Amino acid sequence: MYLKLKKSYFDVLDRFTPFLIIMTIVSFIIGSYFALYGSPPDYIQGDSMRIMYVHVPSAWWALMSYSVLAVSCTIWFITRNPFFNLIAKSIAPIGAVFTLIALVTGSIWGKPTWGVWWVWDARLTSMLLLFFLYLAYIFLWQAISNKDLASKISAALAMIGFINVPIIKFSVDWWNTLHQPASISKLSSPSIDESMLIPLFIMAFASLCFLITMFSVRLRIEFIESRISRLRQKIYD
Amino acid sequence: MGGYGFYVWSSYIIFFVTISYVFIVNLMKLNEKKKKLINLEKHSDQSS
Repeated sequence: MYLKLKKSYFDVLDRFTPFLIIMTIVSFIIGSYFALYGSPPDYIQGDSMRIMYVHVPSAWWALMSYSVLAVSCTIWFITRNPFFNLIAKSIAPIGAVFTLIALVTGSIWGKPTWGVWWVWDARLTSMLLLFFLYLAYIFLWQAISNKDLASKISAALAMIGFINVPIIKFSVDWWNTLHQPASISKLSSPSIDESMLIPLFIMAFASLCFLITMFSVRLRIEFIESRISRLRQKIYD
Repeated sequence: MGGYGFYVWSSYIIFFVTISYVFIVNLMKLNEKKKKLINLEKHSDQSS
């Protein structure tokens, strides 16, 4: 019933997608220019700091995506509205991609900064756990053929896994880690210069545009898949 | 890039190649699903 109501929303998404794609490309071009050429190198880390402009937005949106996933699963658990299952299933692969990018670019940044590709410190380990949580959520949906059971188990996993989000956020404050503390804990007084903050925000905006574009595409894929399975049932019954 | 070119460029290449791949694969998947749905709807109309 709920999925039938949403068809008009998906038609709107279809019309908005080209606009979102253009906005993503344009903001990435501007952001990359400022990140690579238009901003100064860091006085300690030098040019290796430029990795921050792809690493930090990826980590931000990876955490935000998991929050959306956990909230959607919670609402589904309470209301049993299948639309929230679609939202959760759509955002999970995008969040997993952002987590993977954050882990890989963080590892590349770690080599010139710390002298190692990887350390088992709290921030890195909890971020790796987030990646495994995303993978577990995606594979549970594929592995369990009973969709009702898959919904329940994957939603439970997503909700329990949400404990990891504040752990990631505050890991650098709670434990002694190699990873630096947050540079932008308060927007009014960030410990990062404006010349670096602006490219960071442009790249974060571009990555957010990409996330929204991909989310709208994934949402339509999930919606069409649900319609296909209902149609198949109708044909074969 | 002050000796850090390899690290900086490889990060940006990994970032953009990954998001481009994800974008293209999902767009192709969406088009494929749309075609599948249209075919099924035709089949459903014929059978009913």
